[in-house]
Amino acid sequence: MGITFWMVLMPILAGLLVLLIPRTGEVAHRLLALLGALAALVLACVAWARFDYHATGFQQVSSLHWFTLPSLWHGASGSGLGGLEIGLAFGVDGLSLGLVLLTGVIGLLAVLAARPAERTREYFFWQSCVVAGLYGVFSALNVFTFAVALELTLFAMFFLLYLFGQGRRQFAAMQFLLYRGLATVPLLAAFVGLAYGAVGGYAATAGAITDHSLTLDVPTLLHVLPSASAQMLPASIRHVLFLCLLLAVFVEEAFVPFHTWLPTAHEAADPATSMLLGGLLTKTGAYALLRFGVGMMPGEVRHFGTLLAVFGVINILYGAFAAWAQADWRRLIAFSSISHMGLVLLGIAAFNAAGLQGAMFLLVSSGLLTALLFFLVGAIAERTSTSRIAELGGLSRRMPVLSGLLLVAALGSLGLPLTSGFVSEVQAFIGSFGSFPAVSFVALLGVILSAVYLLQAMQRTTFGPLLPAYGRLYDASPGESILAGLLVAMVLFIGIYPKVIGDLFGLTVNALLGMGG
Amino acid sequence: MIAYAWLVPLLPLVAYIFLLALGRRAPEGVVSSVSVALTFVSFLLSAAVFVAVGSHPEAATSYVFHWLTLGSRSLDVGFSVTHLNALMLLVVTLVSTLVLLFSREYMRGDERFAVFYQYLNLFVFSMLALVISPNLLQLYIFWEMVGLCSYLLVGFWYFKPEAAAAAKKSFVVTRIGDAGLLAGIILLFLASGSFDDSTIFAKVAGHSLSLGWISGQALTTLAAILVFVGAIGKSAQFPLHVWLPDAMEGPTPVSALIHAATMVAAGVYLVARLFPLFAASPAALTTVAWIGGVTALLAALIALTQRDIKRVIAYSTISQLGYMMLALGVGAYAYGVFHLMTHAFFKALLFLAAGSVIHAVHTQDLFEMGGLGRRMPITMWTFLAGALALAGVVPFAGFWSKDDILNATLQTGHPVLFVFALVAAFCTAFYIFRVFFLTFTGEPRPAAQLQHTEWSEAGEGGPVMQVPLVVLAVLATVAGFFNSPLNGYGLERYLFADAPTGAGVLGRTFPENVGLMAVSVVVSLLGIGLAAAMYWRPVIRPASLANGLRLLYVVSYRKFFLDEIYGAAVVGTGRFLAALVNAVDRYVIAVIVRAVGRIFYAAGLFLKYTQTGQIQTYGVVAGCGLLIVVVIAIFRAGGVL
Repeated sequence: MGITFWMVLMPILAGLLVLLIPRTGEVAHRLLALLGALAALVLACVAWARFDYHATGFQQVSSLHWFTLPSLWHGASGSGLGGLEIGLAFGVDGLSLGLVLLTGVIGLLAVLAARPAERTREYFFWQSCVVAGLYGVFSALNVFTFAVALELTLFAMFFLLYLFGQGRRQFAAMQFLLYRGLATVPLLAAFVGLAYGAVGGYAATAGAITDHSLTLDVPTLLHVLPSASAQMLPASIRHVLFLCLLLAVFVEEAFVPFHTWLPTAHEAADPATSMLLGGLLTKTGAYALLRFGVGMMPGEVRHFGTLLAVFGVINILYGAFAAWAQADWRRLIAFSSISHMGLVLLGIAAFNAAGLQGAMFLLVSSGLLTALLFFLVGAIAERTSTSRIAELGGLSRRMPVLSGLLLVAALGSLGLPLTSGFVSEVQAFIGSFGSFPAVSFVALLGVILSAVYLLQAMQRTTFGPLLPAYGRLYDASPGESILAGLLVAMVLFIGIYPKVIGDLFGLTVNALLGMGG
Repeated sequence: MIAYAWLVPLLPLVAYIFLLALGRRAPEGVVSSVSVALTFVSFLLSAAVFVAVGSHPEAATSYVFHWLTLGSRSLDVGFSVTHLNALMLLVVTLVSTLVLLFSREYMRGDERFAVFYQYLNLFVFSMLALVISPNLLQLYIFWEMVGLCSYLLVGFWYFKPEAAAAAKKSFVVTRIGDAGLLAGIILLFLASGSFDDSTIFAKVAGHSLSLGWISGQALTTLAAILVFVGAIGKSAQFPLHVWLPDAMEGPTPVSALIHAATMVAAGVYLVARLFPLFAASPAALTTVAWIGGVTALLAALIALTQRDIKRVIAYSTISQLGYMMLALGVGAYAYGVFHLMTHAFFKALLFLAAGSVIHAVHTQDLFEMGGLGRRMPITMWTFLAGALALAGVVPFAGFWSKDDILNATLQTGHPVLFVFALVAAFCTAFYIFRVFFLTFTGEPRPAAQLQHTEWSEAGEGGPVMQVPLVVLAVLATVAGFFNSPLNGYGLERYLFADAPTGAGVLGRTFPENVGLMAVSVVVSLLGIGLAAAMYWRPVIRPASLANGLRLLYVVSYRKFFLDEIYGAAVVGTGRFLAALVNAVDRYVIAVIVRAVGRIFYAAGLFLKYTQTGQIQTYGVVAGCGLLIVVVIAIFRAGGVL
């Protein structure tokens, strides 16, 4: 078994061990979850250290065979050489590794940030499950593994929301479950269609594949489908499959008009859960679009390019205007994140090196910044008992460190240079101006609006006279400072020296654009 | 020497990091000494670079390092030294050193003294890094960084609601311009394959700038105008000038350094730096000239009636930046840069002198001042030098550069803009001497004496405040000779050495026009005379004049109502759209979602009756289903279906 397998397994093992500790062993629960997340992060870093920047395809592959479905059963016995292999497989390429590292960082920090008031055993069990599921999603090398991992995040996150949320937590959790649960239906439909579509396409790839059977193997599908689907499946079916995938992506990414679950969930979630939800879980849809859409159906992405770009701009503007109108920091961040994901969609629609690389950068940047924002707003709300903007004011006076960190997070989020936000946005815009200049001009409005809504919220939160009620608040604890400082350091590092993850993503971008390694 | 130019921005960065490490409670003496010392070394280095570039023009070049790969393209960072950049480095480090010194006294006792110096050092670093950027992407990066420093320093007294609002306004309004600039440089990158100035200029000169959806010439114009939109925001040109007067909420040294001498001049610097691009598009140049001319006049008219000493000088800055844009727009590259330089000195001086006054009397209202000349002679005399330079009286610095601009405007055939500039020159002389007479001459206003008990102690700051004033006063007096006929137009010759592709691209020189010189001096003296007649030896009563020209007075005093118009038109529309989207979100989409949810729920209510628990019922249903399947299979086998 390779390191990618253990990387996914570590948080699950930790979660299971947590269940074995008695209910009262709260310190042990936290410590085990922490160890699991730390071990996974270390393994992810090992995978990074061993990563070969000159190789093509997936590395650190580890697979676990479960059973084989005979070809007689699934009917796609076009050449009838073998059965359908079902099992787990993990591995990383540049895109995967970038997101796996992001999972490692935010997963670890979320464990550190977690403050469940009671029932720590269940909390850390479900939290570990979410983290493991996310590792699985971003490193899955077959479609079955991807679906299983995605379902794991779905249920685990549901319990985190349902049991440990606040306010309308049950409503939020149900909405989350229904939306994302229903999204798996079109996703699976698209997967099955792709797998069957690939069978007929082996002949087209001139002997590269010897085993002409039905497969769910992602590398094989990536190899076969871009050329095969164009020849073997009728255009109408390909379009339907792509639209199925797109529908799933829209729900998972909380794109307008399928977004209502996200602000509600963030309003109900505790800060650590919000970090996982906003920092990682809302990146799975975009990852699926890049991996399965751009990777396996490039023709359809181009065909629907204008549609994607227009939807991207709608999301940028809708998210930005809605964020402007929000009275609560957490809803504001949620809509801000929707706006950023709109730019991801625009970058992908552009379908060129800058656009795709910008989209990938944005996933990481938005992940870090969203997690940072939710952590800081959570820290403030813990002191003031509110995250409503109108009830805050003048916090700089009593909390200069927390206010300063919040300002850095806001500035990163509005795309200030030397933060990861800028280098991501500028690439996405270079890409989109290359393909859709008119749409991109409209999208630039988002750059202005993000400054408006974030700085307006800052003005009302940390600037101005201190409200009397907050005269005795204390500033960030050393632990909080270090945790937020780590995220800030990463945001600045990527902003100042983007080459480090740029080289990773560049590999996948080149592969997606067919330029070779 | 030129290869070490990167040390110039590095030293303020070192100072910033050092102060950051010391923390916010660091002793004032250490903080200010380190900052001033390092910036002063930067200044000495800049001077060396300036001389080195002048004597070895061929050594002026770029040094770049790989930053990020984008597909097959490499994006670089590094530094680049040209004659224009060397001049800017010199001006920025000189003014910065003096302002950092001045702040030692001005900010004494502020509980966030160390933080103030951190921000100032970060600003100096960003501004210098902007100036020596080798390409437009890096320039944009530091362009926004100086905007950030401006935001932090305008909002330095964050607990004041006006300061908080002004900080946000300054960032957001300049951000509008920045969005244009970003689009402009991205289009240039896409069309030329590089962010590098020289590559872009080569493509422009070779008419090979092209994109699929737009013709080459139209693209040049579009890109130039988009870049100029960025300059409009940063240099507070009409219609995006509204942030600069509000930015005066920041501490006065900040106004002097950032909002007068350096950062706001970055827009002018940008247009100058990309002059070969603008020169390739007559339409873009005309736009620059008209925006500049209109801004120069509009801001001068507003400055006539303001009561706040800093606001008068702020509108004066806007107006003078308009002159610089006008110069560039009519093709007088060297004159625009020349005025940028002289303005940096005399405007920093005026702000610091105003700061000295505010420091002494704790008010910014001109009508609460008066008679300060006797108590603050050094401030008065240095302010006078700055005022004469601004008014354009021979032989002070502003005379030479402003006269050059008027001359070039007339000679290039822009009579309307020339009239604008001349009227603005008259207003300039009037408003600055109105400030001078109201502040330093006459008797202290009675109201002021009652309100401000400190009034009797009002006096000069320490030598730390006086040295920068005197140095700048000397520069405001003599800096104009740098490019005067007496010096053989030294600055022009220096700047024209940058011309990338043969002579003429950086504009041309214009023969002196002695008659015009006389006219411009007379106009200035008339303005000063009118101010004297109203505020020094009151022959004309200001109140009766204001009443006589009631409408004009109100329009000027209320700044042409532009803040109100923007508030209603732009901000109002934005807020309306935000509320609309929010309403749609809450009352349309959420309702649809709930309706869909109810359908599922209702379906569940209905379908639950199928769960009867009777095996017989299930059996019948299953049997029927099987029958249907079998029938279909039989028909299919028989070829019927």
